[in-house]
Amino acid sequence: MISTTEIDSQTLESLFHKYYDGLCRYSFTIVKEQAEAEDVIQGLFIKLWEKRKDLDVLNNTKAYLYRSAHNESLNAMKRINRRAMGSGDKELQLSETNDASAIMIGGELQLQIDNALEMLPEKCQEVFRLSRFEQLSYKEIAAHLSISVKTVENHMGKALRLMREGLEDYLPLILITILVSKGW
Amino acid sequence: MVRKREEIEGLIALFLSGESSPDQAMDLEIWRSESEENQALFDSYEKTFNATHGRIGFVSPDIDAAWRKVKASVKEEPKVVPLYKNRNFYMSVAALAVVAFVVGSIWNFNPEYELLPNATAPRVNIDTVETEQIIYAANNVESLTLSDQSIVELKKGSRLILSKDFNKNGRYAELEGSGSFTVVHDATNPFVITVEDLEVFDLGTVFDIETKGDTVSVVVSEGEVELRLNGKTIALAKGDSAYYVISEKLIERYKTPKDRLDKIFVFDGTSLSQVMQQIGEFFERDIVIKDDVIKGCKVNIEFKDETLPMIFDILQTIVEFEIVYNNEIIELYGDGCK
Repeated sequence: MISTTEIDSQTLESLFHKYYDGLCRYSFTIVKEQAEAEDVIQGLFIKLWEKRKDLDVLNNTKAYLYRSAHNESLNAMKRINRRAMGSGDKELQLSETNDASAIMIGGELQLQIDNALEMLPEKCQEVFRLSRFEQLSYKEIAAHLSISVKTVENHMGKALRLMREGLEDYLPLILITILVSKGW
Repeated sequence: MVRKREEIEGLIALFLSGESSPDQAMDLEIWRSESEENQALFDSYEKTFNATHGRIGFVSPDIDAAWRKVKASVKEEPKVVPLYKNRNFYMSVAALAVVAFVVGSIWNFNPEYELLPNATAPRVNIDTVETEQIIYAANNVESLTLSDQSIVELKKGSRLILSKDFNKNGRYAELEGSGSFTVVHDATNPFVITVEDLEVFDLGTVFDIETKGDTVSVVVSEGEVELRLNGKTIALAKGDSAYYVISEKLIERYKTPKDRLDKIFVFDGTSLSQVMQQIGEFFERDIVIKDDVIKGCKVNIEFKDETLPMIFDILQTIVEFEIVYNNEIIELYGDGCK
């Protein structure tokens, strides 16, 4: 627990080294782009520094950083959307759960993913498909299927576990294929 | 904390889907950090999520490189300490009395001097520059706020000599060495830094002046400045830079493409010689690595919107080398890779 009035450059550096990775990981889940996530979090620390005198006592620095990361990431995603809409590039237009960076793998590996998906229990499969392919939010899925958000969470967690077990032998190859197709 | 498997699975899926709240994200991070087993389980779920969603996962970033980028935007403001609160106040008064005596003697002896280039720096209360005329950064970088609230960061071994009526009848100062200036612009109260015969006029600005041997470089980070030398003027805007060769009484603008500030360099295991070739071509500077032993040093870093001096500063934290500005050629010297 610190107060922003105590933040000097050394404290900032310490906070940065402690939380940067975790905050970037969190931001990445929202903005879907590594470079964008890192920009967001670096900007967050710069803002923290610039505003350190205007902010009152922080009771929990970590909570403050995560809340800010969440807000800034959502703002960044809106900016990306506006840019994409401005450029008329519909491929890049993201909704709050869209993932334009995703690719379809194709071929044998896609078949394995499809098979693993087919093996999921019916409701679990339906929830996963709505999330992955229709890109609906948990709230939207819950409304669509007339179930609670908590139930959606449970189905998604279960789907992920079963897919992990079903694709265990193929995961490395699938991930390499994705990397190659992305030009890495 | 013991958690139900279903609870953790749901939390991981929620997180990876980008729908977790800050509290849930922190909760998951705590769980991950509890054991290697938890971390491994998270990793396998993350891989599955990425594979089934056709996307590249998160890659742990280079935190040190990221911090260097942030650090460049983070400057500690000088603390303005009221003189009467300084515990060395009485010693300061005594020291100032001595300095005042010396200054007064010189002033009486030769009243045409407004600047006192040879006086001893008053090493008292350097953060509250109200009446001092000479500021000397003897052993460390010195940050100070001038009476007009402009901020100066004076490099080690450098000296800033303020005009006697600084901020009353213009803001004139003479620089010996190097410094960074964040000037509070006032069109009615010009701010001018003199380096040898070169005059640097502020037009609302953040700029750096660096003296290396016979060459003085001026780099503008914000706003505009105007350089004046023997009737020749060069206007510099944000991102521009110029150099002044003292012995030749020459000023020239560094050729910088307009898109320079948008330039991104990505170096991934790139040799220092290739790095310097790319940077040199872009900034249109001749950069010569004089010691072969550092040519092959590998560089892993990304630069975005950085000035040439900043790029050098950051690279020097990766590869140990010295920079010598030899007129238009930048020479690098080093003993080996870190």
